[in-house]
Amino acid sequence: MSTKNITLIVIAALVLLLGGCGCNGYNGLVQQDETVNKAWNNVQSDYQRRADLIPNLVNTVKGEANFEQTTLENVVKARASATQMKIDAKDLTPQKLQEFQASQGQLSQALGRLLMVTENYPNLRANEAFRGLQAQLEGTENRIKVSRNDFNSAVADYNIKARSFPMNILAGMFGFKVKEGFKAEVGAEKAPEVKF
Amino acid sequence: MKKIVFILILLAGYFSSLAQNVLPKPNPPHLVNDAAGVLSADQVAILEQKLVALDDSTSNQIAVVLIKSLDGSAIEDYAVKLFREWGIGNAKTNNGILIIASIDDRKLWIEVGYGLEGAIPDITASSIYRNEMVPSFKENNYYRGIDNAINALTKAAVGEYKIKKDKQPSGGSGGNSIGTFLIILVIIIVIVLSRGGGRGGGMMSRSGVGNIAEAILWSSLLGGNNRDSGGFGGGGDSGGFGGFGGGSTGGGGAGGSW
Repeated sequence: MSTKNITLIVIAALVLLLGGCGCNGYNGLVQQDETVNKAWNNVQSDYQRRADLIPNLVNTVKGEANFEQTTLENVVKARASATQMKIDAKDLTPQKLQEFQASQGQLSQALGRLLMVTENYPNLRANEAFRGLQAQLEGTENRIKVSRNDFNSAVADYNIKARSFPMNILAGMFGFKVKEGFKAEVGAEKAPEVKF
Repeated sequence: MKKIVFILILLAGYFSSLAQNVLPKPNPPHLVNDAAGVLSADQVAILEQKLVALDDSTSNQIAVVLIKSLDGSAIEDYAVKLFREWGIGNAKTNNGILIIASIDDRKLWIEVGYGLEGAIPDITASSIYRNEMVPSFKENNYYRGIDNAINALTKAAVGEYKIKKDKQPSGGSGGNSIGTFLIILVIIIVIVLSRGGGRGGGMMSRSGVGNIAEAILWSSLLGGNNRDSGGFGGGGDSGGFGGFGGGSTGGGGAGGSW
């Protein structure tokens, strides 16, 4: 009788303990999932911020007589396709992330080229409005870098949790998939050099 | 398999970002930290005093950090990392600014917290970097460059944040003074009455009651005063810096070489 009772108590305690751990772990996973989503939204809004700066930049550069037209057109085109890519944090598949990265990378390249060409236009570089835009663009690139890093470390934290035992069982049960972060692209994602 | 490799890469990136060490947070906290040893003790004290006063009056925290070398990392990355590790500015308003310079690398950066990005956009930060700091830094006059930057940043920042901590004097000053006047009046009456009672009755208990009433009124008066002035900033002694508030940044600001 008493041994039976003890076994029952032990089993009950174990169930409670495991259940408690499971709940705790599950909630932790949910929390980290949200952190990743938030970090992703920051990434998107920083890229948006860059896209918002571009019309002004293009207009300012247009004011410069006989500016190289193809460079400008490339920036406008790249911006148009980059702003079309919006990914909800909920369906952030590796493939979509790659597409996003590629389209933003294209814009980065076009912008970098534009800024490089402006080096040949001393009038433009002396223009106060242009200098201001350059400073803003530089700051935005830095923000993008920071929010991308934040996103990657949020993803890494989440993945560590979702893949380590025993959370991997729970994660599989509740459909928490392993997430993907940004990968460093060779050259493509390099922020345009801004020099004064 | 691909996934595992990918995760390993992510992990490696994560840990390498942790491995990049920034200057440890000073204990006791200071706003001016000259690890490069280019400022004199007097200069550090003057700047510290100025920044503590700014922190007390506007709650904006400007931290100055001078290091010898970045050990190969980019100044903007270092700045973000140090800013977050130290938690410059208030955790709620994120109203911190970090002025950081690496002497050997000849690189400097003004990192602006989330909350001040509106008041100090990158254009402003960049202009302060170029016009206020670089000329003095080129002459190795770090003190003047930093001092100029602090003045300019203060001017730029007060537009947005001055109101928050100084609410009390500008807000209900009229009502406050009337309230204080009334309380003082009541205390005087109580004192006069209790003295009168004590003289008249000559009984210990009566004067005792008067004293207690007096004490309660005094303490409520003092307590009320304390509440109004907002507790003298972060619980530190009024002379020194109370500590960093846990603010964060998202990479706003500007800087470069000198």
